[in-house]
Amino acid sequence: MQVSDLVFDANRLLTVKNLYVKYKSYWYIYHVLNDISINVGLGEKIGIIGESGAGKTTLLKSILQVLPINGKITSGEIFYRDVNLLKCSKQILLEIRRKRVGMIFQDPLAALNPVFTIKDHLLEVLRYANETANIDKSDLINIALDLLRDTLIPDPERILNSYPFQLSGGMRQRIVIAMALASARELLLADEPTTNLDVTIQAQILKLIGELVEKRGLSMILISHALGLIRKMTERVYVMYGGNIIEEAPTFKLFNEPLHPYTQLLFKTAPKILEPLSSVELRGNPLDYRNLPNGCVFHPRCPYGDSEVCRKVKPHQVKVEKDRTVYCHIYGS
Amino acid sequence: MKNRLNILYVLERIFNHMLFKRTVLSLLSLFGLSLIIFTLARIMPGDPARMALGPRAPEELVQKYREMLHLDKPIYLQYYYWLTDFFQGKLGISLTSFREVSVDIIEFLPATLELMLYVAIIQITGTLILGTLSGSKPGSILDGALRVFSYVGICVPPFVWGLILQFIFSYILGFFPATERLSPSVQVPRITGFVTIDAMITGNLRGFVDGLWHLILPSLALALGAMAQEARILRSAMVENINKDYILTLLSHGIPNYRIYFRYALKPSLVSTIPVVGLDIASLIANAFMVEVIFNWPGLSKFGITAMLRKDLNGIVGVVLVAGLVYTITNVIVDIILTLLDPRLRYGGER
Repeated sequence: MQVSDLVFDANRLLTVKNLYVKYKSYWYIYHVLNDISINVGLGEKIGIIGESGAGKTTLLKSILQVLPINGKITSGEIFYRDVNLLKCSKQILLEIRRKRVGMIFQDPLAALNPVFTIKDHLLEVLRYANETANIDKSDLINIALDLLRDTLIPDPERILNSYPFQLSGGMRQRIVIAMALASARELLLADEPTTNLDVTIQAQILKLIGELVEKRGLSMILISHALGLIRKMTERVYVMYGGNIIEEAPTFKLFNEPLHPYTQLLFKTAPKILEPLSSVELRGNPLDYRNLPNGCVFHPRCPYGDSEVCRKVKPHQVKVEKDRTVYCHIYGS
Repeated sequence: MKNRLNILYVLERIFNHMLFKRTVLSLLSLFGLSLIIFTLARIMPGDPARMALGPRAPEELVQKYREMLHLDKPIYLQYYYWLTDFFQGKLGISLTSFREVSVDIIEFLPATLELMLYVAIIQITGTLILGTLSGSKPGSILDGALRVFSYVGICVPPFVWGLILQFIFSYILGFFPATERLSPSVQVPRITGFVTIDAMITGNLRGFVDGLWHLILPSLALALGAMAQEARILRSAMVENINKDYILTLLSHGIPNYRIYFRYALKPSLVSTIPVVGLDIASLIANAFMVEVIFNWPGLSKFGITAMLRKDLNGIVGVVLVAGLVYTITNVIVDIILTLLDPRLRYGGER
């Protein structure tokens, strides 16, 4: 069986349906993703926002099934084109990882193996990404150099022979991006590609990713805490809280008028340059994933969350407009 | 400066920094070791001359023997005599074999070194395979089996393994010979003193096989316990590494599992394992004596323990110095391997 290049529905390149993921530690079970459904269309740029620990990274890792050993997908479906990634053969999963989807990991300082050169990394990835193309080693090196040039790395020949610890954080992240691009021919998963980098480099890197995605016509899922950049770079945004999607909307609508109380607070608490530091805060603590609250996951921290229905009933999907959904009881009735 | 990364440059750095310093330091520590063991051997209770000549030897003869060995002089003077002899290539007369100690060492050392070589081969291959396989799938059956095996390995000393192996494989099954380095009917000329290597040089296939057959049981006995522990160390380093982002990154690119585990996870994990392996193998030079006694192996360990028991002053000092030398060399080899494995040591990296 091959992954077909025909998309039956251009709005559904990647579809995640009712995904549940749990992490097991020695004593506890952490319910990290609860009933997540998202979809990415061909050429679409999706943003995912939400506070740290909302399950964004886990969602991306589950798509390619590269969860840490104690993580487990317990139920749900992940469709890539017409293939169910959770049920397909190993060979097809490998093909999708090698030739279709690329992922940029969060921490550039941790994403490169300290005892191998950049060349080792890139050639290994390229070798499998171009498996059937009958390419020899010097061609691979040329492809690697091209990738490094594409990611605006100065003096790529020298960088190719360096070890990760000899390079700066921004440089390393560019290399991780180059690696991801080697595999990402259709979809790029960018998981907070700028943590651990300083602010000027952050903007540069995100701009670079945006340009490359545009140039190569890729679809993208971008996770970032930089709301301004999400606003600029994406077309549709999912807001996550406590392992749930709580709001989904086209980017401009969401930023103009956030509906869910959590989204409203998230935008209000974000510092803005021209205004004094906002005094609004999210009260309460982040979630304890071992026992999630009944009803709406956000109700213990929600300014409107005191009602009976918020505490008892899990909010259903509410279609506010044709392309907007929110999971909140306020809009339910 | 494109060529700064080639092998000559690496070698130059090693020689400039590590090897040179290490050599000077190890010479100094060998000197210190000789001083300590020389003094210790002489202040231990017991009269070496009387022990060498036996209880019935007349007192004048024993006295004469003492004078011959300078035992009537103060210790610092004795050390001075020993040191002058040492620089002329002499380690003194052994009180057990009544030969030059260096001659004894040359005779017995190759047997132990050959044993160590085969132990190293078994131990390193076993560690790599077991450690990587069980580290790549923590909680698997193999992982559980390795855990039990390594606890048993820690509890059971090598000579007990020796007895068990001898009982099963040579007494009951008769696959392997129980003692000695060669069967009485097989002759291998002595060139390097390594039976298998000598047999190979002279093209003596029968001698090679026979020597190998004799080596298997004692090497297994010495290797098993240490191998189990080292595999556990490698396993825990692997478990730590396979959840790191750099492994997940490669996984997300569809690199096959065997390449991820046996190359990209193994190499950084080895950095913590290699020093232990090195020390374990080096320790055999002096610690193998029980196994050598059981297998009647004419090795240096066995010679050393006999020297200790008979208070053979020169023998003790000679054996301990050789052991120190073997440790030093092993450490240098370990350091070189580590620098080749981990570029951060090579270039003085940030971590």
